[in-house]
Amino acid sequence: MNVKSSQQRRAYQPWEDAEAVPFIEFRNVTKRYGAVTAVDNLSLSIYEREFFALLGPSGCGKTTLMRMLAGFEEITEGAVYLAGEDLSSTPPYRRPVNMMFQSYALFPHMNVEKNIAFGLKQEGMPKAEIADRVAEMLSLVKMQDFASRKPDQLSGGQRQRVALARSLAKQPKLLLLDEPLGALDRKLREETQFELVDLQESLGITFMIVTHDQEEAMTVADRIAVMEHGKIVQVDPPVHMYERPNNRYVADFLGNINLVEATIDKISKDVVTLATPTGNVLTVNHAGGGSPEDKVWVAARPEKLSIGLQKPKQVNCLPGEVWDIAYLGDLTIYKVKLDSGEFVKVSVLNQTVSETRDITWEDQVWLSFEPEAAMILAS
Amino acid sequence: MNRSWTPFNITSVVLGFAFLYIPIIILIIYSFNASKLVTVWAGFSTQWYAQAFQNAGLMSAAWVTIRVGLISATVATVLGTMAALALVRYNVFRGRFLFSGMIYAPLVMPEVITGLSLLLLFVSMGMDRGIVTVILAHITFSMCFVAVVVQSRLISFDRSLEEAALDLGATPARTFAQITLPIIAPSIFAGWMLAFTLSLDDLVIAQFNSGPGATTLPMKIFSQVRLGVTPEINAVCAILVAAVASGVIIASVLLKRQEVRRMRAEQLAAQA
Repeated sequence: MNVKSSQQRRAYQPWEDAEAVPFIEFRNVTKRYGAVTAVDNLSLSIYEREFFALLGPSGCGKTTLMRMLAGFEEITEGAVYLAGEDLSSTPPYRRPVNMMFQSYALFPHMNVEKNIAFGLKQEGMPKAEIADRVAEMLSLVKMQDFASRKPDQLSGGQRQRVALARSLAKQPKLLLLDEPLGALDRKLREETQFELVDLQESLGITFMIVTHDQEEAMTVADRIAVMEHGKIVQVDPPVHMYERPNNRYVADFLGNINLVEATIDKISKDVVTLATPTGNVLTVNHAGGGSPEDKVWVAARPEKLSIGLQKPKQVNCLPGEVWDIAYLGDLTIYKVKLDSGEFVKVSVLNQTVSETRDITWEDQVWLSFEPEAAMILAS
Repeated sequence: MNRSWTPFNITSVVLGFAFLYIPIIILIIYSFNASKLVTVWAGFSTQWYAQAFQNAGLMSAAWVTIRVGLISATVATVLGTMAALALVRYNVFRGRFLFSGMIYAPLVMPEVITGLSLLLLFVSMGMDRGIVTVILAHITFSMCFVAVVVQSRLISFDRSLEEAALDLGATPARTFAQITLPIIAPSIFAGWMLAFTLSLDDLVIAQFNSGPGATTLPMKIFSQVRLGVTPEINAVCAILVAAVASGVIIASVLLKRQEVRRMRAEQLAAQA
């Protein structure tokens, strides 16, 4: 998992600043298609120069939200503001917003150069300037040698670059990316993700990406909004989102998570003591909320758990039996059946070269974790 | 499945094509006959072609046909394209289902009925029958063919292309002129060719709706044949066959090429 997001490198966090003026603002936006509500009374602020990701399963309303910014969807209720201006009555062709389409939408009857120049011509830019800008854009995406090719003479990766260059040519204030890398193979996609981050930083434009790929969102974005059924479930930077999800949906959507049922026994200042139905006692750092007797879930990421044959001295120990082992090269995943019948995944980094394992199928093992490595989720 | 040329396959293909094309081939062969008698071969000659071109009656009929064809095909193409756009694009208007069903009806309507109903309309409107009524009648029946051809292209049209143009600052009118129209142009042209060809060889509808001085070539041929087939008529018919065949071939090649290009683009998209 790639958690190294750009926001760690440049410490740019306007959302923490109460006085920062949002660049894009959705105010109580609702979109209905007949009886179906695609976006449900949603409010969201995005700041200038932010790389913002909308993440969610298909049909959660993320694409609708983006298309509202581009002007392709009418808003049923509420309003969208861009740099303080209500966009409702501005048609798509007058918005300082450009979009890169999932299908790339390159004009098949125009070559690469003409595709990139299309938006500039609409502005009435002088010919010489257009030529300069097109050349600049071509070199930005390293497509100088393909200027006179037609879209159907390009590979998928090349077309993706042309689409990006075309959407950046007009130097928009906001670039919308609708699943921009969905059609690329895995290796190329990973490379392009980093290129996008670099490009966004060097151009200083606000980027908004729609994706269903959580790794992609975590790689590129400063902040991620996780959506479900037309509502935003959580908006946070990737690290926060991963380590402190608000609820089980977000925890499960971003990476893997183990959930163990437990009842709160005692809440002290720093820690919460819980009891599992099979009588194991767990201690987890207190993050606020909850009261004794509450039925909750103790959640821990697979990489935060340790596995061993001997009972360790740590506070949180759970006995279990190894049910399955998956060797992935860099990691080994152990699927352990707890005495309660629940399954828990533990991932162990393979730091040494070894073809034999200490732990094998059907071994009785102990899982352990530190109080700060787990969290309590109520819903 | 057996895909090779079995004797059965060869026989059925030969019989099928023979049934379809022998009459036409015979007509073309006899148009080069030197004899005045249609059924007796007397050596190769192109004299009947020369004579046909000197026949003032035939030539004026041909001229009427060409004018009717050009004008009616052009107007039908504009109207048919507009109908196709309305049917495919504005999918929420009232009565769309009825309208789209009705556009297909003239395709299967017997020509006699189309011709007669148009005649009744023109009579009740008090219009004198002549070249104008023939043109109007041809527009009426050929525009639905254009609509069907253009409609099938528009259904597979990627709407995000138009959205991309709008997004890049093109107004809806410019988007239509610079993006939509160039992309669907081959099918519009194919529709025009089809409409022109249909107008060229229509007899029944023209017969009902034409008046003095507006005799089309098919009408002329038909009336002359009643007095006996001459090699001259054979020659004119051979020219008509050539014109119609090339029109149909151009239209289908255009559509085919477009189809191949789209399939290639789709394959590329799938690979990517």
